[in-house]
Amino acid sequence: MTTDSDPQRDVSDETLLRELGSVLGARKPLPAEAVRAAKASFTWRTVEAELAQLTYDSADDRGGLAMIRGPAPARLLTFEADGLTIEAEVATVDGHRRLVCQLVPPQVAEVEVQHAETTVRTTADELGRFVVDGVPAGPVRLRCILASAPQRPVVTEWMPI
Amino acid sequence: MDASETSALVRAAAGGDARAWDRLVQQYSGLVWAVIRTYRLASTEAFDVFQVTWLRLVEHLDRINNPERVGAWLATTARHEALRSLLSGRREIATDPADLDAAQPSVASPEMAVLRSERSELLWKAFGELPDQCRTLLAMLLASPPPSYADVAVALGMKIGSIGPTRGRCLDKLRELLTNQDVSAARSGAPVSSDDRRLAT
Repeated sequence: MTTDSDPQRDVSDETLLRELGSVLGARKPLPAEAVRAAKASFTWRTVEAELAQLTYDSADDRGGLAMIRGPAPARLLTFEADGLTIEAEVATVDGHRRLVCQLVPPQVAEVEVQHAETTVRTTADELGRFVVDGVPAGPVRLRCILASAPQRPVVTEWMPI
Repeated sequence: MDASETSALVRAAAGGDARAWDRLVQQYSGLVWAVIRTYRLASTEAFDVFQVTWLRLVEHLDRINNPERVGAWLATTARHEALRSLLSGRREIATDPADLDAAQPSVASPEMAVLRSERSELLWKAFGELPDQCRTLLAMLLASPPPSYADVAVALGMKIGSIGPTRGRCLDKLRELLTNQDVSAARSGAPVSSDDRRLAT
């Protein structure tokens, strides 16, 4: 390759764009598996549930600090629905995730931690607490069936953890 | 796919039509992936961001304000989730070359392979140094199938009329970065000639 001249200067926008396209495409082609997973995600459609939206993610506060490596502090997530707040602390234990959660106001609930590969069921105690271990990395959501309103479950937004 | 066809698909999917959903995935996967792969995420993170983008669409199907602009919605969501993934720092940002350089295109001769991989390496590095908006814009324009300018405009908060000029400026910047890289590669990276070696010692 000669470095005396600058052949790039002569390259037209179209050519450069096409070239960039082939580089980007070759670096990370869209995995067929990802498309299959996207199609399969339709099975998670829920119509009867109340959506609890993410209102806080400690990761959003870290900004430039994300570049500083060290023992990662637990990640804090807050989801809010009408009349219910779900606080979750996410820690990594042996490559899996541990979720320590709190329902506010505190109440008993049947809880499912839903993940593409697995669903873990547990119960929130009368103080609204529950702990789930061994959740694989990847997108998860929590589905809570409150003892006080079992006919309308609360489901959080999906979050990759 | 025109705007009315797109919004019809979104409405049908919101009503439970899995075939409509599959067509949306088919139509916009290339765009979503194009946005995600501009961020230096490891393969598993990129996969997760892709998946969570579609899961978010599933949960928001009946809440999308402008269903005909679902492409813009997906691109915006993918960008946001990719940034979140970088910031959450749950794993190291990809530094493993295997993650960044998967599947080089096969080329005919060894000489061509060297030239092409050098050139593509430079282009990849230069692209990585572009401002965020340039990277996303170029990546979106290169998606297959290509999105409408209207989707690009909404996703990037630009006017449709400024996409063309911005594209030009981003490509100029890319060209400039490539030139600078070539110069610095000639100074430091290239094999040292015997003359240079004599001077250095």
